[in-house]
Amino acid sequence: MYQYSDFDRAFLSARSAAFRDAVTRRLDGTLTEDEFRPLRLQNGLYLMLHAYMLRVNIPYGTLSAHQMRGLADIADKFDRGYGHFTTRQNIQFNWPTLNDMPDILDALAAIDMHAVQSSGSCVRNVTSDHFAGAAADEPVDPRPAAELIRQWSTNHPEFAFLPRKFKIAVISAARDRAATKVHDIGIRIVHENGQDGYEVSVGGGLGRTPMIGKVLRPFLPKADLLPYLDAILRVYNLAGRRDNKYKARIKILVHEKGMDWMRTEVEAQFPPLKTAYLGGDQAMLAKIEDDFALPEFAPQSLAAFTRSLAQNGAFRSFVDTNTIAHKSPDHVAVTISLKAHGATPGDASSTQMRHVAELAERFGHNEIRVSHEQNLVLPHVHKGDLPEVYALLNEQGLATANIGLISDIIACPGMDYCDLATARSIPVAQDIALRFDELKLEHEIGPLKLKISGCINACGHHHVGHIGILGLEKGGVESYQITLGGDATETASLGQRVGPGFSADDILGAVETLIETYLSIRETPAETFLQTYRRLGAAPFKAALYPPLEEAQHAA
Amino acid sequence: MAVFGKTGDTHLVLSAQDLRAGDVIYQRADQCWSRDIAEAKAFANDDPAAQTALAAGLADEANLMSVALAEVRLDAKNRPYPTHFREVFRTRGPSNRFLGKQAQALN
Repeated sequence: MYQYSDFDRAFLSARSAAFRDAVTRRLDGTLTEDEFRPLRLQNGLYLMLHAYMLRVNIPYGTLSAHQMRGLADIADKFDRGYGHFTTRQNIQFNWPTLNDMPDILDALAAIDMHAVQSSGSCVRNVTSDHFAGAAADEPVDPRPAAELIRQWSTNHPEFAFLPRKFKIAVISAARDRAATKVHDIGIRIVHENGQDGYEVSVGGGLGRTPMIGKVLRPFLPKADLLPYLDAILRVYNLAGRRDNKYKARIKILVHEKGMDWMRTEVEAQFPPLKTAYLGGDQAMLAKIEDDFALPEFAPQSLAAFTRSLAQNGAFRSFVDTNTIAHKSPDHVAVTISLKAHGATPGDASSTQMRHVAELAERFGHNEIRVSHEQNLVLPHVHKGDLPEVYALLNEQGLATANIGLISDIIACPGMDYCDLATARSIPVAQDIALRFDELKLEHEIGPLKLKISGCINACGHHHVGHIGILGLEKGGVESYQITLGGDATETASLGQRVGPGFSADDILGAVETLIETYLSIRETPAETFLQTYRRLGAAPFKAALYPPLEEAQHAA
Repeated sequence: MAVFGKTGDTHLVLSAQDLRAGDVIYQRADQCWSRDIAEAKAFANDDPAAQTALAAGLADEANLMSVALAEVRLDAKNRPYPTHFREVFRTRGPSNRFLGKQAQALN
């Protein structure tokens, strides 16, 4: 992974000292809240429903074991002994005090981490495939490009005050595991006619106006990445709307002006920007690529793996559900579920965080990933070590074999923590996970993405859930709308609202009805929920959710 | 400034968040701040003193954030309790973890 230089450490040290000074001035009354707010937001500090919240960047979801231990220490020393991993591959601490913030930033800097640009109208944490650098289906590791973009966008003087926040995701595999089509810019590394390059999409996003991104350039030569991004951001910075925050994202600009206009403007900006880059960026990229070399794998026996597969059904289930094929045939990437049935999606205790760090050190070449689906990943585990890794994960409640199933739910913090939320998300996720575990149905249901947001801002990605749930307030109580047919992958689509909302008491029953309906109408057990929806549309699900009154009374 | 959950014939209390801890607090009759909504001073909905208190709270930038009036009802002992579910969560803490005010109440 990327190794911090002396320059990086000096930058963070200076940044941390500047924020310490700002906090001191806020506490002694020198700074008003209006003056202080942009300073705290630029350092990831929000005020939420019960307390402050600190959002810490985890670049493209990659962490070392040492960093995970440092985060666990921060959770214990300054927070409440846990952290919340988010849909942007970050971690949030829900209970820091303002007084402690400078010390927390120092503690982060000590492990080469920070919260710079984790909030505000700027380029946010660059995200990527959580199996980057490990997955068998991936041509090249997308993280060097993501790291180059991270360095380019950090403190970029021209783009410090964009019309709104800006999110970039980078992948390499054809299988899109990073939801690139719902990012402001989605980048996929491609290789065409013997040349390395990028497919660049623009204008995706969720929130109150969800849009699927469209391809702006099908092939951008590798050397042109940064000047081309400069061109896109310049067009957006100059033409993006600043009169209405709800219309300020680049997706609205693309929608209002059209892709042809966008392409013309970007291509007009691009040539002079391209000539301004003299190759230093490519030299830097080459150096970054060295940092992301695949670990050296020593030969090892597979006997324990073969034996456990034959003898242990629970282990077999874990392997089937929570591992994927690795570039090295003797290895797998292991997803550690932070969705034990009834747990809060994305939460990990400091004990669990240290446990994962130890496993990464002993069995995983020191690497950990955070997925946008709010789980952790050990990207390089030898199959021969997998039975022991599984047993050790089990000890800390981290071996739930539910990845990609109905209880592997994305849920935003909702009104349990968030100041913007209109309803709770977490209890809905907990109830659904517990219920389907009780029914012992989730493996029979098969792959299903259920995503819950507690407000229209859609941090829980409900628009791209096969089943999406949006929590709203209606008449002074929580109400939950259901959308169906969303998809965050390379076949991205936005879910369609199925009908009137359900109360907090009824939403679990509604989800059960959807699943019962799916199981009764799928053509074969291999047909997924999304495939059934795409074949038949919403009609059978609507009919089941909203039966004619007479029928409903009879059923009651 | 918004009045959260304003409906019907109810009372108002002045709510804020403490600058240092971020914790939710309510103004008492003696102008001091309490972490317990039951100790808050309740204003009649049409009492101009509520707006005066709100203006004073908003001006106290050295100590307060998120200053707002919140709708309450009064229990049999005339103690305020929240009407809107958002305010209920603010007085209690998250529902997924025993943290926040619900935990502090035991200390």
